[in-house]
Amino acid sequence: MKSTKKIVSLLLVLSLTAALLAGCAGGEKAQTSETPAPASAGETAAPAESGGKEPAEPAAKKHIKNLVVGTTSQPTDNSIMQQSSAVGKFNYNSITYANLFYPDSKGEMQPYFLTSYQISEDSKRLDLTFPTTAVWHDGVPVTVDDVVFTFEFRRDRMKTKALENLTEIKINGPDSVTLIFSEPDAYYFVQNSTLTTFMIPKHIWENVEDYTAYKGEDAAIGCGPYRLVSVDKDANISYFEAVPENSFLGELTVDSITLKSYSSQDSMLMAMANGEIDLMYDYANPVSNTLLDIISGNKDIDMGASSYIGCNQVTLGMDHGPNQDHAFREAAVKSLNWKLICQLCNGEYGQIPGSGIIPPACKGHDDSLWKMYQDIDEANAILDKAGYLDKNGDGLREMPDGSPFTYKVTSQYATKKQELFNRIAEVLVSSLRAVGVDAFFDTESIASSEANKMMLNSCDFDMYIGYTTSGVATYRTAFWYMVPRDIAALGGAGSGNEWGKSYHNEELNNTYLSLTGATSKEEYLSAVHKLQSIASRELFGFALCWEQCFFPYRTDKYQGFENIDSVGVVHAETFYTLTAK
Amino acid sequence: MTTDKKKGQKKTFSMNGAMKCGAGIVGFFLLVALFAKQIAPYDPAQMGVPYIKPCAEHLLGTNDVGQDIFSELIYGTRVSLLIGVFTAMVVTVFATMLSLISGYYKGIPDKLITALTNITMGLPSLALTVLLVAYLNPGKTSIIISISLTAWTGTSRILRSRIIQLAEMPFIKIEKAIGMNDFVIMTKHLLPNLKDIILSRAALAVSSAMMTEAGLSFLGLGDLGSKSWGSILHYAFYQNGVVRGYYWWYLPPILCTSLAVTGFMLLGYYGVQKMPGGKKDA
Repeated sequence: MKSTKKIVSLLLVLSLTAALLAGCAGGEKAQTSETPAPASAGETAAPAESGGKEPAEPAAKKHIKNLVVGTTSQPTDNSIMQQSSAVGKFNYNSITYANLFYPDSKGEMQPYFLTSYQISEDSKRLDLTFPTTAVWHDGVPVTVDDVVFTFEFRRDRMKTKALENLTEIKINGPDSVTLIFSEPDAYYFVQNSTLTTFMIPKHIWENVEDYTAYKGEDAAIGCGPYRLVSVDKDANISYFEAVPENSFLGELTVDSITLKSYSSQDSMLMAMANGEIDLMYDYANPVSNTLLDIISGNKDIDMGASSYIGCNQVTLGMDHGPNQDHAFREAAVKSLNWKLICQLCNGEYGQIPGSGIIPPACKGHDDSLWKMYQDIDEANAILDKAGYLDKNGDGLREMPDGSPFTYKVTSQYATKKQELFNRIAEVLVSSLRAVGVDAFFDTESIASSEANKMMLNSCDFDMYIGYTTSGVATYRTAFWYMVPRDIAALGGAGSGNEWGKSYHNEELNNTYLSLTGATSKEEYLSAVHKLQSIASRELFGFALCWEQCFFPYRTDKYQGFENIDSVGVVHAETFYTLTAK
Repeated sequence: MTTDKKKGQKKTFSMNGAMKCGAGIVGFFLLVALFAKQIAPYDPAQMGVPYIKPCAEHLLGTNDVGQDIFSELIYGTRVSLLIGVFTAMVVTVFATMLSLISGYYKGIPDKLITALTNITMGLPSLALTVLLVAYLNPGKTSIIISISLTAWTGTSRILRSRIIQLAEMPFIKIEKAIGMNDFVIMTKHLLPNLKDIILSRAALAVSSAMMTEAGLSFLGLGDLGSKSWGSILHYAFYQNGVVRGYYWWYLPPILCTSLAVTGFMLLGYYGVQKMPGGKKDA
């Protein structure tokens, strides 16, 4: 009996031992399954999963192995100093270079390369902190010397107006500097550092004489989250790979990027419909509403619609002819076929603008101002009352003193928008002629950029069609184009077109100066409100349409898109938030 | 010789079906151009509701600014024909003058003109035309000048070889021997014998110029202020009419251009059909 018990006990011990060993073996397996699987031939890496009763760790992000982005800019130049090429424009999102700041979805400036920033109350001091772990793409560490060099280079070589009053760069330590301004420019500098205020590598650019012309291979080196690997100029494709040391906003979820350049938007959209590209990026150049039919039936593509903060606009020549008379300006505005203009600009999505010019998506937009409308009878009555009568019976009105006049409509010389501007000009001319104004479209001034510049320099226009890009609209607003250059430049805005040269309104100029000199959001918004009010009252210019913009993207493979007004789904945060499904 | 030709002309004229067909097409477009105001239902510049599909009010619908496409097409005939015909005139007159000097006087003038012809022939004509139109002030005159600058060479070369042939013929030699003025010989004796070639080349020049004008306008380099078939096509493409399936917008100008060009090319058979036996001479 005893021996039987012994045998049973031995068997029990053996079976328990075997069960224990089996249990241990099962635990190891389970643990193995939790490790991320290597990326397969597909686009994504498998996720890590937590299991059992262990406290759940934050789920690892499902990385995108290669994000394919389409654009219509061509890869002509890879230097971080050039923004005209595909790579240059793509860099606005902090790709090969790292911007100091970036605007978030609400338009608030957030630190990008920086870890923090602090503007003093008087806006004369800007405290910056930054990481010490970042590296340039050639392996050299980013140091405080590079930070100092960046600001000195921008102030002294690039002549950045917002930094012209930067008097001292105080080094507080290996990860901190303070900028001291003699004027209250810190707030304006930060608010305008949206796209191209990036870190510059000292060891590359300190000995370059002409930074605009330098095209050495190292010109593409920055400290952005992606390194430019190669550019296939025959295929118009640029390749980028992630630099984990420079993941400034957290974990980079896109391991590599392929940027494909297309000759036109229609070919790019067809590529998207075919699944060749995942999304598009075209700075200030959203997809035309006339092309949406290509993708409208595709359930895997989101149109990426949002309100556009830029606008097509008209600036009036205010120093000569009938535009000097407010009554004429009012009649001219009320004679225009607004429905047709909006249809031309933005199809069924266009909205007839308000008299305050800036669109609803802009900060400080005032929706209470009167909206534009067409009323031919009212326009005729205003002109009649103001003395613009057809005295010689030729069907065209003369000036109140009886002298004949012509009304020149012309436009900006803009390669991509020229057809639209030509068409808008036709509508403006047709509308003005309908109330007896001898309007004509001056085609000579759009024959070349030189001819256009000459016309602008001499203010030889009555209506000038131009446009405000989303970059300018973000902070400087459309009014930047409507004030004289010396006023715009005083605020640190740099040079630009001479559209506003013909108008000298002290109230407008001072208000614009208060916008550029604002030291707080409240001051800025107050200035924007006042500018709209002046525009509504004086009618020295007007927006042609408030638009919806479209930056389509595929939704079948990835998630985590954030469609920002006027920008679309490609922005600084995209490469940290986008994950595979 | 002139009398013989007249006899031959009468004989072959009735057989020239291609030419009749061409004349019919060209005549149709000429009538449309002449009576555009009476035929067109609307002022082509009048704006209205955009993108109306073809209907009873608008046979070919309306464009992006609400202009009636049918009326645009009718008025476009004027511009396309005007540029085609004027360019052909400039090209033909210029080529004829150069070839007369070159073929009749020979020697240094001939060498110089032949060299000029060869050099011009070597230029990429379309690229040069595009460049010139882009840099000159926009307008019909610029287009005519730009196209003409390189379009004269073919006509000039053909005429020169024919003039060299004619200059060796006895009736010309006799005129020279009796001391007849060179200008008289050229205008009274050479030109009448070149008439067939000149007319057929002129007809071809019209079609070529119309095609070039349509191409330039399509590229947005045409006369912005006027309606032409090319400019209709330009805006149809700019507004992505093809992608959106607006065939009533982009097809008519293509068909009109093709038909008119074919008409002038058939008319160009005039000279060929008149040759004895109907064989191509030049």
